[in-house]
Amino acid sequence: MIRTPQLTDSRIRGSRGRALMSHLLQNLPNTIKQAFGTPLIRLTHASSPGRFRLLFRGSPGEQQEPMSDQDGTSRSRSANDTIDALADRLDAARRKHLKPDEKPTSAMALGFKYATEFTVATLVGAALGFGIDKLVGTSPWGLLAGLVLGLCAGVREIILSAQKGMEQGQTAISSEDPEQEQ
Amino acid sequence: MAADGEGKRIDPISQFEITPMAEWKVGSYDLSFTNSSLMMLIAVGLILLWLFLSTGRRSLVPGRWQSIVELSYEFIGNMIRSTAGSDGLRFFPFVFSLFMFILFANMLGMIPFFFTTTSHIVVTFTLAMMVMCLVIGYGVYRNGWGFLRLFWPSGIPLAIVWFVAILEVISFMSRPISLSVRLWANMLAGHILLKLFAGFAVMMVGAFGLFPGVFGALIPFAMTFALVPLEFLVAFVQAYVFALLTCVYLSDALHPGHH
Repeated sequence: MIRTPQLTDSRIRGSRGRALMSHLLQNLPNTIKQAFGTPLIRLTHASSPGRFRLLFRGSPGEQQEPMSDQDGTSRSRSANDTIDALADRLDAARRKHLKPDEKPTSAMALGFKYATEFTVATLVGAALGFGIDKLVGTSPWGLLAGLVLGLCAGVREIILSAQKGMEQGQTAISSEDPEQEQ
Repeated sequence: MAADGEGKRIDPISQFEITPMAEWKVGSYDLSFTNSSLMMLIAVGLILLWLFLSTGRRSLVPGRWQSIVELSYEFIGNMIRSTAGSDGLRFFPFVFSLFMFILFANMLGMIPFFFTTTSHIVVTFTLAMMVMCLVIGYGVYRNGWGFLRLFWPSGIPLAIVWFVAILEVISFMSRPISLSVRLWANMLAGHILLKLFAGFAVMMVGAFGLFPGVFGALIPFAMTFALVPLEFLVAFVQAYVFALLTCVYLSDALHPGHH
């Protein structure tokens, strides 16, 4: 068997190094899964990279190095460092793209939201019209106009929030007719 | 009916009664310390206790309690970042305290015999007006007259933009009302429903005696049993929705004109 003395060096260089890097990059999820199961990772990936690394080093066993063989020890150490660096970079990248994933909005809460928005907008419109009536003395007309405007505002509010909800659900209503987005 | 004689009424409304615990009147204002104030104090005290105790040992590798606090920090932080952008984080203390207060008040209300502060519209409307005052105050402070762009949507032909502006004003004015009514009505309706079914189970036994009454009580009891987890969910979701909409409105104060 041919030994590879370059890899015992603490640094990784040349094409072999690049191959190892890409191998590690591909296997990183599995490595992490082996080390302590997925849920913990999901807990930690959003937090600081320092803590991530600590947890990683503190994990029991040598499972985190899947390709350790005869010349294992020093090689796994350098690989560990690589993994740490990669983990840091992954963390940074993930934090950049972090979105609040599943939102706890039940259908009932959503329906109630629409209902209150519509009702309240109508009522506020009517109240505004009534107030204008009282101030100016145009008795029924202000109330009527306010009621109609309030209804319009309520419908508009429902449409806007439904659109927003659909965009968050990645149904992309706006891709069909882009004029409506404005 | 029959239960009236025992002094304790089985009706779903009496749980919302406010009873003064220490009378205090300033002029014509009644500033008594009531059971509602007590529950608010308990909620605030519990939040403070929880936060102080679990952040006392600031370890790099968080323990259980510390990671709960860190998770809730990140939950609110991500919510603000995704709705109001990174400069919305200056409102983090406000949104976090608002969310925690509502959550704790709702959850404390789920404990039997405890008073639910958020089931009174005075409380929720005060919270909503705090939000709106902050939105208007900060929006004017930061943007000056530019805050009025909030009501003047861009990219709409001039012929109908004034109409849309009126609609915007109406929906802006309806925000504090819908914000407070949503939380209040959810808590009120949930608690009435719970008490109604639970009281019905008791009344069944009272009316038909223990042996046949128990079978009659089974269905309302099952309803109560099913409603309790739903109410816990509602308690959380409504606190979340309140905080989320606060973030959305605060983002209007930060960036009026594009929405």
